[in-house]
Amino acid sequence: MNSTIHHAPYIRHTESSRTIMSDAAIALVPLYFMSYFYYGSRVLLVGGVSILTCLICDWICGYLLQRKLNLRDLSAAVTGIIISMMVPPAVPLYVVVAADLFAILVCKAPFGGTGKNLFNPAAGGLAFATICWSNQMFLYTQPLQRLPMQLDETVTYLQGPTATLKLGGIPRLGLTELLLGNFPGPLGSTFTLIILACLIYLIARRAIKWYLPVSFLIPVAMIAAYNHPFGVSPLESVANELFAGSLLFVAVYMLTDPATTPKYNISRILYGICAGILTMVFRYISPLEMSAVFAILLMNALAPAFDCFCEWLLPKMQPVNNETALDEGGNQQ
Amino acid sequence: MNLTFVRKYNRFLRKTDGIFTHNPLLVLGLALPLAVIPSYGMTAMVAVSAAMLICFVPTVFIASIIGKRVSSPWRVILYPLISCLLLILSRSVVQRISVLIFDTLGVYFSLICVNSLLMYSVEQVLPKKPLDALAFALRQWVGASLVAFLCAVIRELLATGSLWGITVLKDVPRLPVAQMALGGFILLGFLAAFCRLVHRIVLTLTLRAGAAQNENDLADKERSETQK
Repeated sequence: MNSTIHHAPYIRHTESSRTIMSDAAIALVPLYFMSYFYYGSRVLLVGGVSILTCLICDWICGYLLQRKLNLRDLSAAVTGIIISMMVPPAVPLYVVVAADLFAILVCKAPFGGTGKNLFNPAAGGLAFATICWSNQMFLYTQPLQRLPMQLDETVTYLQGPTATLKLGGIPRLGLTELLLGNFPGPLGSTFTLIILACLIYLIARRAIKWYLPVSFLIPVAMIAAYNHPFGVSPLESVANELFAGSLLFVAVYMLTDPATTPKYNISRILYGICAGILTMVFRYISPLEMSAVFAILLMNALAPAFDCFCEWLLPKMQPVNNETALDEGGNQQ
Repeated sequence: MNLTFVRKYNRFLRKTDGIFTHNPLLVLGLALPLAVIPSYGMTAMVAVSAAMLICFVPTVFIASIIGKRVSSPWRVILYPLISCLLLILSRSVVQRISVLIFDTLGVYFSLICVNSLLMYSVEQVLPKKPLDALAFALRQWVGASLVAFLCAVIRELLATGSLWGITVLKDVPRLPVAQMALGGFILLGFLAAFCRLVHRIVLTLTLRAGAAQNENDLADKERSETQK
């Protein structure tokens, strides 16, 4: 009898960290094209610096921790892309580098690297950059204004619509502008239509679960509709809150990080709802614009608690029957 | 295996217990608020260290003398009270370092009287002789102050580019988060990891040095035998 000796894992699945991360990277590429069209070649510089910093940092950390160099691990590159997408187009490069370093050196490597991080590295890096350089992080430029590689005095800085919303004003943006991201905002996280298309791609590829972004966006929309400013219809308020910043981007690319979300389906939905409510609370009371990022970081810390709650709740919800069992997703078989 | 150098290293560590080994901040995680919050700058940290020397060390010394005569629940009240009395005395010393620092840091000076390091130390010195207890308290103070002072230097340099208010780094991007509590905690975590790395490297080097000496001894022995 021929038998082969093979090391673990014995159970294999077509879906792996590499496939999920490569899907995420593919879904981020169209946003780069769009931002290149809007802001010019500086976008490539910011993106390139961010990705390279994350990759080099990740490799150095791997070397220090005596891990084998894995060139197929794209998680660091995805972190770099997400960070570059969330910063303003005319951001100084040191801000991007600092955010990348914080993301990998503080939020990822100390916890054990890919798949073991407690906090979303990109969210951590962005929160760090927001706290340190809040002035530079919220100064945007007009779309279709080609930015020079070296920033000079010709660059005009503007406030984004989220700043107007925070001050209690009404950003008078048409639906077309909101869907195309044709307003001053972060580098690649305002293109609503493309992000929605990418969301469909990611759901079709089973890289993310549809109910996580949906459960996040529904409470945001409900609170925005209920708490709409005077003179603005509830629908317009919802559109402004959802599409006038980087909330949709955060819902699709950061909230759905498989390493930092709870493991059960029900706890994921609860996690999304709580993250949505917390985002709106931060939007109303926090002085910083990037409220979704801070909400996600706080929810990341609570993700294991959601799983524990689910483990406590699920047996109580099931009828007492020895034959019934729960699968990994918390569903009855 | 030749463990001569390892033994020497371990002896050194035993002598510096509380400073390099069992450091109250990096290893035991005691009195973290005292190290994290006031270490935003060198002035504040020196002031807190001076106040700690005046309050913490004598309290531990007194604890070693009277500790056995006082029952456990009363000890918890007595030692902070002694420390509080000493804190009043320390105010004049601290104000020589900086006039406003006592009011600026506020509660963190009061924390010197009630913190985990004090509670840990007063219980540790119960079986010790007074002089040993004094040495123990001094080592704990030196260990905590050394780490907190290092934190203060790094944080002030990163946040303002200056040391003790004197500008050292010009035209370098500042990192305001370094002066926040968040920055202090992260820095302390990295320092703990760095110290562990250094300990491992030193241990590896001492082992290698021992092995190399062993090989040299064997070679000498073989040479002498061939000469014979």
